Amino acid sequence: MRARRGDDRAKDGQAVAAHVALERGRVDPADEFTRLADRYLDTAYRLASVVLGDPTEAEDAAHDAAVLAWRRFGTLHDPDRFEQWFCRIVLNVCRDRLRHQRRHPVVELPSEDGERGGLQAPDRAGQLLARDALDRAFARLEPDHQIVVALRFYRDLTVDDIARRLDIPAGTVKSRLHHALRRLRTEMERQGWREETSDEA
Amino acid sequence: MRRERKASIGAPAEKDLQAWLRARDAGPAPERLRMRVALVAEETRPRRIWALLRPISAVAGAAAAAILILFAATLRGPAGPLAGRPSPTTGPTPTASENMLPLMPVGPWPRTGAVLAVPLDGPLLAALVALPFLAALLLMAYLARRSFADARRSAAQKGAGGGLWAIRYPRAWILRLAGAMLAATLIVVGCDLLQFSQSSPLQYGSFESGDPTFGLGWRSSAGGSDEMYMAFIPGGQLRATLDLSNQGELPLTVTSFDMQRFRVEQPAAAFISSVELRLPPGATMGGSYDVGYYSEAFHPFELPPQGDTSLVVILHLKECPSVEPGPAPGPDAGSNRNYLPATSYVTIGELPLRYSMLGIERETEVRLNAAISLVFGSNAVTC
Repeated sequence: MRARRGDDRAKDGQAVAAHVALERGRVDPADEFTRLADRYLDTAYRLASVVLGDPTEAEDAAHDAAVLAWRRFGTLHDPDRFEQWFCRIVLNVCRDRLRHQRRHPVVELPSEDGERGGLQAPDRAGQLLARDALDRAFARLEPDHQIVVALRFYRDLTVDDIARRLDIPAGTVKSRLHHALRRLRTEMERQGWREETSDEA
Repeated sequence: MRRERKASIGAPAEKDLQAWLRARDAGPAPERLRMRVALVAEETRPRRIWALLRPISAVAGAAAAAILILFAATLRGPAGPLAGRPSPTTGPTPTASENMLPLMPVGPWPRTGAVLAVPLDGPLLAALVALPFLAALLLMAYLARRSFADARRSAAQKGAGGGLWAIRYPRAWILRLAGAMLAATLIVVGCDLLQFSQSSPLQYGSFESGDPTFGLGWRSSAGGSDEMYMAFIPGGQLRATLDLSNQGELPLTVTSFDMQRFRVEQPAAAFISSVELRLPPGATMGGSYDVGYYSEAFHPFELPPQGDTSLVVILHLKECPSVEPGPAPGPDAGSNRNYLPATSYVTIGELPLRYSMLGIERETEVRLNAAISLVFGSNAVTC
């Protein structure tokens, strides 16, 4: 535990030294940005892929976010907060892309197994169908709600953490989570899924 | 038995939702994306030379702006370089044009009656008008760079405007307002000076006289300027003395007569083969009605501030075989104040001269106090 604390202090010291060097103009901002972006690119890309549900879209979103981040790099006061700051930009880009997708929806072809509701399925197939149903339900959420759900259930962030990351009140996060989950439930039910398992004789 | 499918929603099924979300996780960023992101900053990396040039140019811009504002304020003030009316001429007592007020090519400065002493055309004008805009931009960058580290980085990346607007500071609006006001002030000053682009300190004085040998008479026009009529003599010479005045506060040097411009802009040039200027003997200033007094060939000469001198303009006329000579002057030609020629005539109203001031060569057209008109013997007007 002591060693870990020592590592943390060393990292903090490095970060402070890097920050001071940046402030004093010894470090090229472009080099510093490239280093930080590369360090947190995995996190940003994975988060984008979860929110968008499409690796290709996530890749484009991460790149767009990097371009925006570089343009706004001068507004970042504390390089130690780069991850949060960058992820916020990524999420904003994701939100814009989701809104764009809503305005320009992609028509999905009907699946070969016809109506999903009422079909009996083995467990494996059931899981796939459940995921498919979740995909559909998740896609119907508002982009802001999708982001909150992803941060809460994928990144395991607390409500307060999400509020800080998105720079919104905690109450708004709770409200969005509540409405998002209710909407998910409704959408799942609309597709023939029930919350409880019941055996009828 | 009917089995309802289990939905992965709700508090008891959060793990399912988490699992579903993690299934959407695409894993680490692909190398292609990593390379694209690495190029983001490279493609827009600011040139290092600007890191050195920007502070230097900012200081230079600030200095230029300060000089410009000071310059404009000085001219505006009652102690401007040419405040008040032009000083009386030191030449001989004027005759025909004694009551004529000097005609300014541009209006005098409000309240003070001053006109601009420094020529504002050519490169100097461009510099004085363009510098304020540049200075305003550079000053904004300078403010941004000096004040805040983040804005400094933005300025390095995006330039002045980006740097200024990237300031995150509770009182950033003060800087923005100051920058905007400075830019507006400089623009106003620059535009104000622009209207004086044609001003020239080199004017005629109040002395002008025609060659009595061929002088036919004078006539005052309704516009306020006189016309001096002289008979056209094929292959002959017409001489007129006139006074040049430097109405500025800086010395200038009259360098030459611009014959090319004279041919283009004066219709009477078709009847004139060349124009010769002669100066008073030695370094004598002042003048004389006697055209024989001007014994010295033209050479560049300096006019001190508010100083004037006379010279004689000799017009060498063409033969023009198709043009009849003008009428011979009568015995009372010198006092013939309301002479009206009965035949056609052409007029020379301006003399194009070159002069230099502060090392800058300029061209100007000295509008004559009394236009010189060549009177022909008939109505033929082609040489």
